[in-house]
Amino acid sequence: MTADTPFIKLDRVSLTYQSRDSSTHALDETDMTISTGEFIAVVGPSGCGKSSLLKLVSGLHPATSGNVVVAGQKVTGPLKISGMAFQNATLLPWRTTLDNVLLPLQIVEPHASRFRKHRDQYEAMAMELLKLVGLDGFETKYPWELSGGMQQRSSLCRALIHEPQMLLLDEPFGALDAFTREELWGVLQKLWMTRKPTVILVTHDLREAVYLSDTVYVMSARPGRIISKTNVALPRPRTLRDTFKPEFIEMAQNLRLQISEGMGV
Amino acid sequence: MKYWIRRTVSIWATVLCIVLWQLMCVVLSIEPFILPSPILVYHSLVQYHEPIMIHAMQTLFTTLVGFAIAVAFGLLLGLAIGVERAVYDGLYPMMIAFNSIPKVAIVPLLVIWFGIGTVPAILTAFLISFFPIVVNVATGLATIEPELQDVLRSLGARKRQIVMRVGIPRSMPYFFASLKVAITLAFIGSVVSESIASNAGIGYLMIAASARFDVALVFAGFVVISVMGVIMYEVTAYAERKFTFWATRANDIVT
Amino acid sequence: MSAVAPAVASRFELGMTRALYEWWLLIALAVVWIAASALNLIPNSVFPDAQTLARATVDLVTGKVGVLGKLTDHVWISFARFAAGYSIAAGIGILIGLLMATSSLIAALILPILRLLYPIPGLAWTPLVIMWAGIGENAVIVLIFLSAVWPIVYGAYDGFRNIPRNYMLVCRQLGATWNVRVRRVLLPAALPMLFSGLRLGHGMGWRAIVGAEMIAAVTGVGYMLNMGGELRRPDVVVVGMIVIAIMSALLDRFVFGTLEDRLISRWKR
Ligand SMILES: Nc1ncnc2c1ncn2[C@@H]1O[C@H](COP(=O)(O)OP(=O)(O)O)[C@@H](O)[C@H]1O
Ligand SMILES: [Mg+2]
Repeated sequence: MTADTPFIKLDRVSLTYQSRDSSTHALDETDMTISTGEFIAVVGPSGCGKSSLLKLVSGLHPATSGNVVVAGQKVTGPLKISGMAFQNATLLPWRTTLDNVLLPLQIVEPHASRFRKHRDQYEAMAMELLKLVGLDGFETKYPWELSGGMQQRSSLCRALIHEPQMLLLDEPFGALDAFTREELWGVLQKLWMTRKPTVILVTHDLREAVYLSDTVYVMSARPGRIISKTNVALPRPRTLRDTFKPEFIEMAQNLRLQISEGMGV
Repeated sequence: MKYWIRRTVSIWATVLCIVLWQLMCVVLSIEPFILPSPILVYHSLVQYHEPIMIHAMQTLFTTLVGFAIAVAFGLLLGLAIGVERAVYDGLYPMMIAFNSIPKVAIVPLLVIWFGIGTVPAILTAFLISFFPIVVNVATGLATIEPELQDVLRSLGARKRQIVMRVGIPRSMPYFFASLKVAITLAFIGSVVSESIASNAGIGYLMIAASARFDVALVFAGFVVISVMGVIMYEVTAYAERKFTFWATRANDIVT
Repeated sequence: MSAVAPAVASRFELGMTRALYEWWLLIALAVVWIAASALNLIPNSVFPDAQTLARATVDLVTGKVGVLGKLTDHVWISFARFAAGYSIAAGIGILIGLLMATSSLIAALILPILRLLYPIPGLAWTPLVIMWAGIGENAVIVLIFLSAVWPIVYGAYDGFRNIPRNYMLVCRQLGATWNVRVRRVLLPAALPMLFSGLRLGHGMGWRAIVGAEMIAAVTGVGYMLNMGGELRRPDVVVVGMIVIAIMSALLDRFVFGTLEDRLISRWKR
């Protein structure tokens, strides 16, 4: 794949949830172009279809109309090249941190069939990741022995263990306190800079969006559509100090105004 | 620690009750054929310990066999109901209706089919005890977080894999919790079935003793039933703590 | 939207499809059973075929099966016993629960006894009750009482105990009379718990009555069922089982279900 072919492309994608007695128009004619290794953030009012967008890209839910193309192929089902993390860490309480991180390898091929034989090798991979997020020494702990921030770090490791080309994050730090959240921004940035996956981050936190991403998309209220696209041209690695710089603050404020306009305020 | 405090409290309460009972019998000089004193009951236990033992073993046997069938059947049906929406829709209403019918009603039919004795007791124990297992296992499977399902499905996990890796472990605390209820019910089923249609087992022993107006022996049977019930309950409770420690620990932390 | 009739028909159809969907196993079994009956494939000594069951039902209702008496009598006797045993259990259970909730001394005295007696299944008392009360009416009523009373006590105790302090404080400040306090605050607040206890006790009492009548009575549906077994009459037993199933459904769904819906939903508002 050459650098200028997009990694993810949404072409006039709409999504309507149809249930027995009602239908919800969640996404409307959405266009998006994300290049390989790009880190984008999606912000927008609650219920505007951000999570739905991730479901479309991951292939968990088919689009009602339009095309979703990932890595040069039309998406028709789960892609197996994505890692996902959510607001709640959803770790399995009967597995240690290490075993939780290893879970995807027991499911996704070609690792699943090799897992038993090469367990040591895979464990080394997991340990490396855990070290990267600062969890070395906690691999034998159970999730309920970890703090919320540590659980979220494990969840990120689980999302990345099978070296996915694409990382889909749905408000991953939404349930954390402000300090832990900002700490994890740094962790996520480091992970991204080492692994270089293509990332879609859904968030409510505009500072988080600006801090982490190359491009911020703003969505309108339901039915969601992209109403603006902002390039964040700040140098990397970014630090907390950068968040107090005028250009950073200005960008966050602009996004805030765009969201208000999108909500019709 | 807390557990042991709770345990000893109920033991002390029991001891206190027995002492009061003895005092009451002596002070009010109650006739033994109305209410025998604990000492008389104890004598009866000692005097009849051999037949009591034989009948208790019979009840234990029918209870455990019926319980084992209920566990196997309940686990399978619970998994099927929890995994397949169609099975749930097609069986659940009937199971709810079935549950509200007293199971002893089937004992006479079982007796016609299998004669009095062991088989009706086993089947009654089974019929009376599988329902909570089914419900709990199915409920446990239903508690898989949708996000976790998304994570696994996006990796290309098939339903079977999700059930094996997540669904079954997740439903285990519910399963073990239901065993405590189920073993008690199985025991009740056995004893009741023996009381109605058997010539062996503690239930039969008590009915026979009451026909002879041997009040002390009836009470002895009562004691044996209580002790057996408590032991079976505690064994399953122990298994629960042992195998699903993570569930109770997880709750400790969260709340 | 203009034509009304098709919409009604389709709703009816929907209901039928739904019933078929929910009860398919039972319906399938019934169909197989009727077909096998028509072909004379069922040995009546094992399970009654359709003709035999119909005849047995008629005979039992008209009281033609000598020793067994009339089915309708048995049904009423069982209902009456249940009503008696359960009412006593409800009255005494609620009273004890209320006393326990109002006085911690009474609670401390009764709780250990309750913990000891609650796990004992009602039917385990049968041999004792037979010796004390003899075989018959009293024994069955006592057994229903012993089966139903414990959950009711617990429900009442929990319900009355967990009334938020603030409610009562507010009441007192407003100078509400005792009558108002009980009717407007105490009962509504305690009702959900109280009701779940009553319902649990109802289920346990109802399950006990069949067993109790089998062992400790010479009338009632349970007795009829048991006699059917002793006379080796599968048809009688199956009629009894069906009658019990219907009685269970009636009691559980219609009497208790509607009562609960009415009361709870009215007060919850
Ligand atoms: N599986 C579903 N079935 C029906 N409606 C849904 C489903 N998932 C989401 N929706 C609806 O679609 C809209 C967008 O949801 P979502 O994508 O979760 O929004 P966001 O993540 O931006 O808050 C909401 O109105 C939501 O109620
Ligand atoms: Mg969302």
